[in-house]
Amino acid sequence: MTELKRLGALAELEPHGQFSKWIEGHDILVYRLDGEIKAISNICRHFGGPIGYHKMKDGVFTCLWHCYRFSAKDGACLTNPKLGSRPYKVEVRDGAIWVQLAEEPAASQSHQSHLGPGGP
Amino acid sequence: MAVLFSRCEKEMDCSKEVVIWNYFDHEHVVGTHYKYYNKFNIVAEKDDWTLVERFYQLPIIGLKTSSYGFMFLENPNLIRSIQFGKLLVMDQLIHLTDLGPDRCLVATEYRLNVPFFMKPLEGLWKKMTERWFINTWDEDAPMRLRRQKVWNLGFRDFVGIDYVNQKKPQPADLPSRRPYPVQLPVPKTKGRKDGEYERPFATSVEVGYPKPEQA
Repeated sequence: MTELKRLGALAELEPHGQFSKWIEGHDILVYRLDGEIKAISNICRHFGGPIGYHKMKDGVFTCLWHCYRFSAKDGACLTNPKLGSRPYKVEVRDGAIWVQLAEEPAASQSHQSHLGPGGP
Repeated sequence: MAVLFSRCEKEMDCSKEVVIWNYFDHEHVVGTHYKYYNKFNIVAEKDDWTLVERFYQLPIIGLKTSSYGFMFLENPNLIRSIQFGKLLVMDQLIHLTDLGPDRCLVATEYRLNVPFFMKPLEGLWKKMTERWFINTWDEDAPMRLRRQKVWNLGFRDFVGIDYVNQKKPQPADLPSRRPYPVQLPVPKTKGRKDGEYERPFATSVEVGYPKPEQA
């Protein structure tokens, strides 16, 4: 389960330099920053909104629902530092974008997050 | 006095509890509805009632105005919102009906109390409220569907989804749905100035919600 999954064609980055897509229960935001392709979770850990709904501006994504702001550099949440968005490993090959959904083996849903609650 | 009346309804692929969350999640007004609302204040809020001040632009006539709205959950199937405008008072009833698992009917009645000589404006009132209902519905619907989806994937407020955070695959034993309890008031973001919320930008390039998973 730690293998790379094909998320989409490289061309899907156009015309906005970003796109988001669901794959196997993960909503992933892929974007180009300073010539590098990056990916973070598109699910805002506040209430679940889409981080990449608006086009990135000045290196920052603003979630549609409640305007939580995220650094495109590393997914850090600028509104609440405890709610950073998880980065995904990305590879580009054969004209496609591949992401690694899992770096750890599967677990039961009852396990607690190591990231912990961020609080309001 | 006379009453201008209109009724709008639509079905929704989410539980009625998600719709209640959406109505009581005031912070999304300047986010999700950033094209219509400029700013708002939460004046007071406790349990299942709230008093908010909203600044917005009315459809069709384009009037920029504001109102104080007292909204409360009258029962699990009815939200009532009384809007006190500059001169007029509107009584809004939002009826919620379960239509099955993760499906409900939302029926909204708008009653505007006016002097009797304004009764001929009821046709305009129906057009304005229908436009408002459809415009806000078009923005709220994907929000509600997404909220239901992430909830069913195990989302917790201010945490996220455990398997995403833990860099693990989606568990094979994840139930297809989970009950959605109504918990009011909806938690607010700390640190925003005096409870006042403003639209964060004048314009935006909308890339949109994520593309669905390919079959």
